Amino acid sequence: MRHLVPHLSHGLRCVWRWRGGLCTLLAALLLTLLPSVSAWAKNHWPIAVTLVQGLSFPPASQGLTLNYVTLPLDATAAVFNSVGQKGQTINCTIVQPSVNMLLGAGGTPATQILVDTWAFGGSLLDVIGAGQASFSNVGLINNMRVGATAHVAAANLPGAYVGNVTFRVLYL
Amino acid sequence: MNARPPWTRNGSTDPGGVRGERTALGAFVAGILVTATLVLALDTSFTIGMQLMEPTRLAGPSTLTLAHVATVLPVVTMSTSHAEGGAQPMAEGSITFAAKGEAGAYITGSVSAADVRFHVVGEVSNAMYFPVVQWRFGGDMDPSGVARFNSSGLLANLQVNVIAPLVVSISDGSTGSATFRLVYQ
Repeated sequence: MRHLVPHLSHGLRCVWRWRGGLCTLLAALLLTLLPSVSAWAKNHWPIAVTLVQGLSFPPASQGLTLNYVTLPLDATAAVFNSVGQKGQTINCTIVQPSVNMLLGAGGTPATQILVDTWAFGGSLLDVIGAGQASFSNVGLINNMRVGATAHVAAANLPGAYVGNVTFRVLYL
Repeated sequence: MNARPPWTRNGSTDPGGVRGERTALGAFVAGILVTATLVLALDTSFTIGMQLMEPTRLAGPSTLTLAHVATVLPVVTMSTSHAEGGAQPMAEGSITFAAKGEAGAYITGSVSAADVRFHVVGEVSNAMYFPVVQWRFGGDMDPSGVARFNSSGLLANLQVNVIAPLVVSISDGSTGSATFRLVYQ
């Protein structure tokens, strides 16, 4: 055993000398393992979200500067269902802090309506800026609802305004 | 005797040693955590929409009539006052109006003030007041107070719901007043 000590000591010194390279090696290893980690996570905690309906605001008359609110429990709020790991809690957010609904290409302020102040309800508990819920014992969360506020300006032109929003679900 | 720097091990004076190991390990663990977080996020895209209508063009001088139909305010039993702790008791009631105007025209309803106060008949003390905290529109009106006359020019169910906290023990006889206004859009 004793004759191994100098070799071991030398080895450790080499490792220490090349610790920068080791970090690089670990990073490379992590990148290599990414697909495996991803696959493992998907196999163990599959999650799926179904969009039941998008969000719409009540029809309004052009020419007024008003805020129009769709509450989470309103019939026109966005609704989602989800399937995931039973008992797991999820955190739901809207990725964009605000979104412009556009009339046509929406190149001017008169053809844009700002939407913000996302609100969460239904099966989601509204925490600050997010909604949270836990999967049931069969791995379901139904009726996750999202509302928002549309800021209509008097200068907005009449017509159908449309925008796109991203609903993000994250395991806690 | 020199004091050993806190980051040294076995007398080593290499300050980058232990800290370097910890940094590398921390970065590695953080990398795994970030990776795990990223793969467990799921994004779903959805649309939002709104129809902005041409302003109502009234055919000419147009009348607008408004009638009070009913007021349903709750009978509140104050078994627990706010001072005794627990959730603050709330009173919720509903007032219904009917309106007649131009067929197809949009109107917007509003309430005169948000700080209307109920008070016990005969009482002038502020201690016996309790403020309305929220007005909510319902029935034919959407939450913003917008409604549209039907083809007969009628709106039969304009609901104004009122919510107020009960901050004092009041038995019967609380009253208050407010004005409900309809305006053509």
